[in-house]
Amino acid sequence: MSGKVFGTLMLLTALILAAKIGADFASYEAKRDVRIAVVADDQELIDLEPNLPYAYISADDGKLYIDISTNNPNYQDGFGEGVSPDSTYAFDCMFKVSNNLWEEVPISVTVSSDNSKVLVYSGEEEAGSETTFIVESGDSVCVGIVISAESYSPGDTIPSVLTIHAEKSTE
Amino acid sequence: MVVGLNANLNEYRVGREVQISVVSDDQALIKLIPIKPYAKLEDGRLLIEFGNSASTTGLSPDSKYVFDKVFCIAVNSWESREVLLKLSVIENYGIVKIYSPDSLVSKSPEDASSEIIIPLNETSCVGFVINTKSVKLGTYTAKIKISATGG
Repeated sequence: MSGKVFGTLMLLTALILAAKIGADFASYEAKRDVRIAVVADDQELIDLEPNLPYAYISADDGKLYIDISTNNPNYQDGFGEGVSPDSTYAFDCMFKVSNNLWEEVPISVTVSSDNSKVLVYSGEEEAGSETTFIVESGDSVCVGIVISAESYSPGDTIPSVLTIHAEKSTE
Repeated sequence: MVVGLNANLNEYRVGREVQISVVSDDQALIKLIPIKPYAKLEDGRLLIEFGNSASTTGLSPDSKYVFDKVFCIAVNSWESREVLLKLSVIENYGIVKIYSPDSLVSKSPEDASSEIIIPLNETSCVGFVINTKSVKLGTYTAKIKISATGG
């Protein structure tokens, strides 16, 4: 009888030891989903919203374009087909940048142009190759564009790429 | 002698209860904690969602986004051991990269990659770089594989 008890005790000891070894963390594995919706510029977290008809969202790729030519889908017969040579145009509020971030934090936005003939501005500031402004959560800010056709001739095009950079505001 | 023979074990059978609680990711031994609103728990599982095609919000095409600290991982193990954590992005489009200041590699958005390794003591957070260059409008899915081994 005492032998049975001894054997049972030995077994329990072994089980406890085994349980302790098993209690050490060995591994963990999980897979979790990430979903990303790529939507048009005027539907996203930081909206780029056309304000004047020279700006539009392409139905093909969802990007904002500023196009003062007959290629613009908003162009209609009788509209001006471009800007004049040796002239300067300023367009207030060509497009808006809005802050629809789910974090509800203000953002600092910089819009820059790679062409010195196409300048940008916001508010009352003078146009330059870049403009920086704060957009509060749920708010939007207008971006104006100045186009200088100095030294251009009819038939020329003035290509430019605007880069919009946004980061969380520290102000 | 008879006692000795009887002491040789032929069979032992006993019932013991095992109880394992399945809890949501933010309550588990290895916690996955949503931080930014782009991360949430759905059916107890961490889900990261940058935009929602149903509500027509999301990210622009041909853009690069950096989201710091989208979610954090914490060791809530009952043992105080360091855990080696590996996070891998599984996707087909090359849109998603991750980083963590605590990672051995890819510590910042500039060197984000599809795999990071974190020696985890307490809590580490994971940031995302989403690059939508060369992708069309639509919804893209990826998986984050999170594996951990005891240190």
